[in-house]
Amino acid sequence: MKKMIKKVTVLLLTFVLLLNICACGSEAEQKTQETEVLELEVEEQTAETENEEADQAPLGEEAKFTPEKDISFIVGFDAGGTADIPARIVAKYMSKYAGVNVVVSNITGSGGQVAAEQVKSMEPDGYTLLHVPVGYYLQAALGNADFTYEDFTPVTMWCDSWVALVVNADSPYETYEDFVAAVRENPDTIRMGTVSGTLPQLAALAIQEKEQISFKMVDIGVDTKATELMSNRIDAYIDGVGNLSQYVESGDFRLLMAFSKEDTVIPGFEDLPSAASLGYSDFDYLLQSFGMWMPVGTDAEVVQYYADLIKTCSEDPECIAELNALGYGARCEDPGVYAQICADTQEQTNEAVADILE
Amino acid sequence: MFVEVLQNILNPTSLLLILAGVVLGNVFGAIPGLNTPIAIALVLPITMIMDPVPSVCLLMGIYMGGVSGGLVAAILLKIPGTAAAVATVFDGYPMAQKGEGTRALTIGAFASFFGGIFSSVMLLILAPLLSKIALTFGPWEYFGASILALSLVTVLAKGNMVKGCISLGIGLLACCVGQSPIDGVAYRYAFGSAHLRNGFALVAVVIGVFALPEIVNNAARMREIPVVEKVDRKFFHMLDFQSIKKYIRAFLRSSVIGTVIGILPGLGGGPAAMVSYAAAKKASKTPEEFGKGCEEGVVAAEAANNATTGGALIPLLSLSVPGDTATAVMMGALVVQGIALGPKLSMDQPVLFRTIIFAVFIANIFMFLYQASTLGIMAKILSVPKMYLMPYIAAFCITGIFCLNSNAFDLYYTIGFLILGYVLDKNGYPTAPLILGLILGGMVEENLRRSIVYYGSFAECAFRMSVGTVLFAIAVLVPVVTAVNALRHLKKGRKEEM
Amino acid sequence: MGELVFLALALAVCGVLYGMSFDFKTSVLDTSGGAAFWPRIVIVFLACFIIFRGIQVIKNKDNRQFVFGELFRGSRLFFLLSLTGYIVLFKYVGYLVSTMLFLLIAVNVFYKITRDNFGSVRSIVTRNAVVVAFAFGCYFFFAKVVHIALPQGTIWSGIVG
Repeated sequence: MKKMIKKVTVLLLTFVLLLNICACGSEAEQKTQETEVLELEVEEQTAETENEEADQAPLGEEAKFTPEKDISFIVGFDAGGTADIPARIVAKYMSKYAGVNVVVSNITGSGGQVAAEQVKSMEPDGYTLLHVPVGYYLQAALGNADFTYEDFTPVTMWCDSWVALVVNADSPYETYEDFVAAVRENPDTIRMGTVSGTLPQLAALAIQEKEQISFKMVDIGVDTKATELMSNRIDAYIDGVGNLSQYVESGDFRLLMAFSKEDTVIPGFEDLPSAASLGYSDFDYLLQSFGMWMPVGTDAEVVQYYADLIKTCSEDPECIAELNALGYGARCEDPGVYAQICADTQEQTNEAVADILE
Repeated sequence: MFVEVLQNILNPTSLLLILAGVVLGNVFGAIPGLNTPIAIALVLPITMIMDPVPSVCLLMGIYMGGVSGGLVAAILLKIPGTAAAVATVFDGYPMAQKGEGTRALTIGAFASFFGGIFSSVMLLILAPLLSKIALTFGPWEYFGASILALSLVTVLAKGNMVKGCISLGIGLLACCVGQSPIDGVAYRYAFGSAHLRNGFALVAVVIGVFALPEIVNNAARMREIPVVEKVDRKFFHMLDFQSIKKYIRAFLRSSVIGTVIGILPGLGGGPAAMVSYAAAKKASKTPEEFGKGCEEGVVAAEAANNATTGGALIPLLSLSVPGDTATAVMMGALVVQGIALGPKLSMDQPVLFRTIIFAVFIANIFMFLYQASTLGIMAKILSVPKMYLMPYIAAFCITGIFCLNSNAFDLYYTIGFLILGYVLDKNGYPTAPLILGLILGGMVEENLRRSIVYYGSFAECAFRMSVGTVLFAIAVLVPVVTAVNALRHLKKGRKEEM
Repeated sequence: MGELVFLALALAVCGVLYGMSFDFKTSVLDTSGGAAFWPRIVIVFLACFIIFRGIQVIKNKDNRQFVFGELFRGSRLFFLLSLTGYIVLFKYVGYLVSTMLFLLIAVNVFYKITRDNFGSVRSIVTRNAVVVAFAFGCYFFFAKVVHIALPQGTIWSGIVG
């Protein structure tokens, strides 16, 4: 009996080994077997694009960068979360146009810092992309992070998202003006839920400063925001539109305003007043856009390649539709412009944070 | 409508997807370091292109499979793959050491099945009602509930209560390491390390405290002949009717505890199983048997941790509030499908709502069939000589811990916890309170400080008429009463001696 | 006696950690007691029970041997060291090599300890082949199927360039 078990184990392991060898072999042939059946669709397209590329290769200039193996797109948050889902959507389209798989991997911890630290220490080989949430600027401003945008090579913006002020659907606040008036009448009593060290907290502070009003700020957990509002333990909170749309659809919540530019159209919330129309200025740092960095020292042509790749994706109507359905917007930016945006965002965030720290 | 629901689920594609999900979830639940969220992340690309019904089938299969996955490794190898399986180790592993591994697995599999089905029935009939419970729980109530869980487990755990409290204290202190909650500006006890800012990874500590000391301990006992397993030579391991009858109270009690704890977002399977274990011990006529390989202990742990699944789906489906990481990832996957979760789901899309619940039912049944038919094979792992088994398990644990954060740093402190766990266990300090302290410490602190912000001061919280106050009062009373009783017994004993 | 040393050590750690809690950063927006509030409660709670336990040990003259040293003796020490070595090497020589190395050493040494010899040639070959297969199998599963960035080994990139 014992021997038989041993034999079976050996057989099984040998099989695994064989599989492995097969996988390695096919990799050498530049075929992407990565996620096997799971990405069948992507793979078919991969094969097509690859053929095209093979035809073009001898004609093309040598200097131009084309990826030859899988690209990893590192997200510092849990899979299935609000930062992860748009990344997966865009990665799908990036795979489609790049001809190789763009694999999203989640390295979680410390508000995404573990992921950033890891990418920071990587070789600039052109195959690692970092998902950049606004949280990174905030953490740097708070002195909690050991890195800033200067420790990376900024590539591009790839997704737009906005934070909005939300109240219960059955609350008396029909509009932003109602809400502000109520807070003004009862200073320090209307409960505004925030999570420390996050963008919504800065947004709440910005509302206080602009309207010269004062909330009773209470801390709500990252996972219990919606419960706290539903149960009326808080009166309002601020969160990404992507997180809120389902509650608005279900009829629980009402959005009052969003921190967006005058001409921005937030998919699904076309009538929502923008911060710009309500008289806010200099609130660029409150835009919840996702960026992309690569390890410092990455070649300019590699950066340009990815920026162009994102541009192609952001023009794909299917990609736009898929992002819009979840309350996000497609976005692209020239690397040079994006580097400037990074610098500006960091500066504005630093100013906003200066009031928080003792 | 009922016919539609049946059509949705009882077709080859759906059934196959549920089965695939169950097997995948089971594998990921069994390997320490991998878990349900990772399994779901792995299938996210395909669920994105699937229709809602098939993707719901796959997701529910993975969810159910993942929760039960820890069972086998916990009982046979003392490796709890997830926190939910920690309580299963207490009696499951001693049973396996006595040569009753198959029996323990049979009981565990049936208890999982019972807990899962019980909670999905609750989900079906009481979802809208029960979801209100989740809403009434604010920070103060969560503080009360988590303190009560800590108090129950520490007091009722095996051994000396003072030692239990020391163990709990170490766990709570370990939980303080890393970024502070609420204010978010301080990095406590991180000693300037970017890795420690993240705190200790729960699974790394669980492996360090439970699995690795056992392997090191075995290293000096290599020559011992492996236990002779009393194997029933059959393919399908169903728990006999008499045992079901015997433990029916335990099944029901644990399922209720599991469902209720599951409804409360944030607590999850680990605390549920431990509290249920403590309750079973308290209710038992032979509490001294617990921890030595008591069948009722396995029942209590496994029925409760599986019952949390149905519980956690209640706030998810009816309020779109996820209870744990697994349900949070699942919510992400469902939202991508364009499924608007929330109170209106059961009204606007009754077919889909019932299809989801029916998928949970089927997933539970498949889970049971799968486990009952494979556990005989699994139990054979015990007949592998220790000289082979131990190094492989160690390598597997190390790989698993690395996978948690794709970082070797977690491995370094795991060795520290190995030594700590070994010393505590060998000297009669219970290790369960340490783990529970680490799981719940963050919740206790966050909600305590949040309550203070909400209501002004601790005194004001404590004098509020609320569920939280009641729970907190019980949490304080239980250890006091137990200690007084113990002292009285001690005095009586001394008088009689004289 | 041994337990008293353990408790004293734990108490000393508590003292140091309590002292450290005065250096935590604070935020003006925070009205909940600050970052140090909870750790201090925990430390006081822990210290109380440590002292209580110390009194118990002294009063009851509990002279049971405190288990600690046996962890660092004989084959336990060997296993602990090889495990530590495995973990330290992990980052430098990469997952595949370190896992193989650890398993090859541990499996063969344990075989020797258990059976007093290394067994027949056939047994040696099978045993070690299984180790290699296991390492490759694990590597394939975790790196290729689950997409986990297992360490490749920093010294290799140094040598290869």
